[in-house]
Amino acid sequence: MTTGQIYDLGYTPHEGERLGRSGAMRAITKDGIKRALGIGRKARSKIMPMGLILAAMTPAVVLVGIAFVFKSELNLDSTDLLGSHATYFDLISTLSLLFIALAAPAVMIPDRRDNVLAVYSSRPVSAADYLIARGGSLALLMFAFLVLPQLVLFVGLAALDPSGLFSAMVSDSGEVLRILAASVGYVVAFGVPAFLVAAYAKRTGMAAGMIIIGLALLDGVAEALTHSDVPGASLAPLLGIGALGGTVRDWVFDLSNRTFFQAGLPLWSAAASLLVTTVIVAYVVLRRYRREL
Amino acid sequence: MEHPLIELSGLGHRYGNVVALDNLDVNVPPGSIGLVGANGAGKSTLIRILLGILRPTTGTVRVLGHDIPRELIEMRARVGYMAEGSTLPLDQTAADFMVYAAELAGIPTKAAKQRASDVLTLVGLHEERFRALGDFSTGMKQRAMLAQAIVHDPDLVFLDEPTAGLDPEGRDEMLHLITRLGTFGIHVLVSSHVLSDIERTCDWVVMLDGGKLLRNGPIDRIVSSNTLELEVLGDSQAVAQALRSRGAEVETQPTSLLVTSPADTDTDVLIRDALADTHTGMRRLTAKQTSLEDLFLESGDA
Repeated sequence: MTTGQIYDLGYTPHEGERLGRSGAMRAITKDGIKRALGIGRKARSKIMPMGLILAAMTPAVVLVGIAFVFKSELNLDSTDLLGSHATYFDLISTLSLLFIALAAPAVMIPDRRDNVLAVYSSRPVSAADYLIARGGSLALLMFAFLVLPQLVLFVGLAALDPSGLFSAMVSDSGEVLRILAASVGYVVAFGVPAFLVAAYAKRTGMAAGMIIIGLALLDGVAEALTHSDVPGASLAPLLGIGALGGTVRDWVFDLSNRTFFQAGLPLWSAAASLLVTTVIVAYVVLRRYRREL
Repeated sequence: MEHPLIELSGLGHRYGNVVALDNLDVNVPPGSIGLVGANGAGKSTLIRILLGILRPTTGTVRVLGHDIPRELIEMRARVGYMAEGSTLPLDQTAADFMVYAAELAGIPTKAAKQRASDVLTLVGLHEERFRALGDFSTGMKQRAMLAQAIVHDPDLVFLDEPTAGLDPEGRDEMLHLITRLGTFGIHVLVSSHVLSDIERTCDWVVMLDGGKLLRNGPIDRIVSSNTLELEVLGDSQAVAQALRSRGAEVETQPTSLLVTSPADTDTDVLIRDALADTHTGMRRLTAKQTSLEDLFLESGDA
């Protein structure tokens, strides 16, 4: 017969390291990324985000693969076959809008719907810290969504270059900076309005619809005003927030933009408009969250 | 802990024209504090001010020695909060949420996982840790909320109506857990309108009514009185008369007398003399039992 003793382990105080505010913000950012991708949730939460990521990556992977296999037979310049990085943004910008329209509500709404904000009020974070971390998780995700397929394309183009992979990557490094800068434009143009809607909406599905329809309406109104006789019509393109990501892309890649050209606006004004929008949205959302956090 | 747990000086808060808290001057020592009052007394408003969610209209607040809102982050790093109603992400498992709740307090991931497991065991949810919180019963949700409030080992935890919606068994378990927190070195502020819960779990009480402070002090001192309950063998009216002639206040009950002597008089001696003079025997003499509820109702009437 064995004998034993039951110990009540009770409660053990935490005497180890505490990472404070920065640790808390890292945790919120990490949680936001997991929420947006459906990690740790039911399988159906993963279908849309993972499907969209796959859809954004697939053309780059397929094009690079085709080019590798058939380049010598087709005898084409690699850029003819793969297209430019600027045109690839056209291919994935709508996907990225769908992605952020689904991700922003998934990250922002459950904390309010389930009253979890009360938990944050007993942790070393302020309302601003919470919003920076949540916004940061969305920005990081969307940035990765836009940049990763472009990097696959960039490496693919470099590998097909007659000068060799390494030397092509070095000589085209400016292209990477342009990709990063243009991606920031799209992140702000789609992400900031999505963040605003998600900070107020109560239901995730409805919020996703509002983000997509709202941006489309805003672009439509801006387009209509641009071609009207109302005073200040020449500034109207700056109101079409969703389209400004494409305009920043044109500015960064030194392309022409018909709408801004006709309105007589410099392309950098699109970036300025996005900056002003970001500041206004940050102020409005912070006021909203300070009431609860 | 050298400083008081909570220091309020001239604290007031208004929602438009409605006064929620009116000029509160309160110091409470470390320990288990009961914050009591009827619905609308200002309890939740006070907790929200203590956590820095609301800014007071007037006055100053210090929690754990930290000035609020100036040292908000430092204070928040050392407190836990179990709000009234569910504050759990219903699509997450208990284990995942506890790890997150610990990481939110800056505890590194590895230690957070260990603490989440320990605390879920402590509140009796270890077997359920991989179930979604949305599938939990009300009692399990309350225990999960208590777990998130202590998973990061705070110095002080605020519990707002922790037994709301629980059946008698669940309520008993919750009160037992709250009582144990003191033995872990965690100070507790329990807000409740169920006064018997406060009597069972706390050693200090702050009583609010309509935003005003009714009482603030140790429960045993507040509920004790200089009134004795006397049961006699014989003519109780004669004894009452004899006591009154010696300056005592006497309230006649169906089977006993409630005797309150003047401030500078020993009640026991007064009763002994009155019984001797009237040749009456004594069946029972006890201190009158006063509950927080009696005091609250008396204060409200006043």
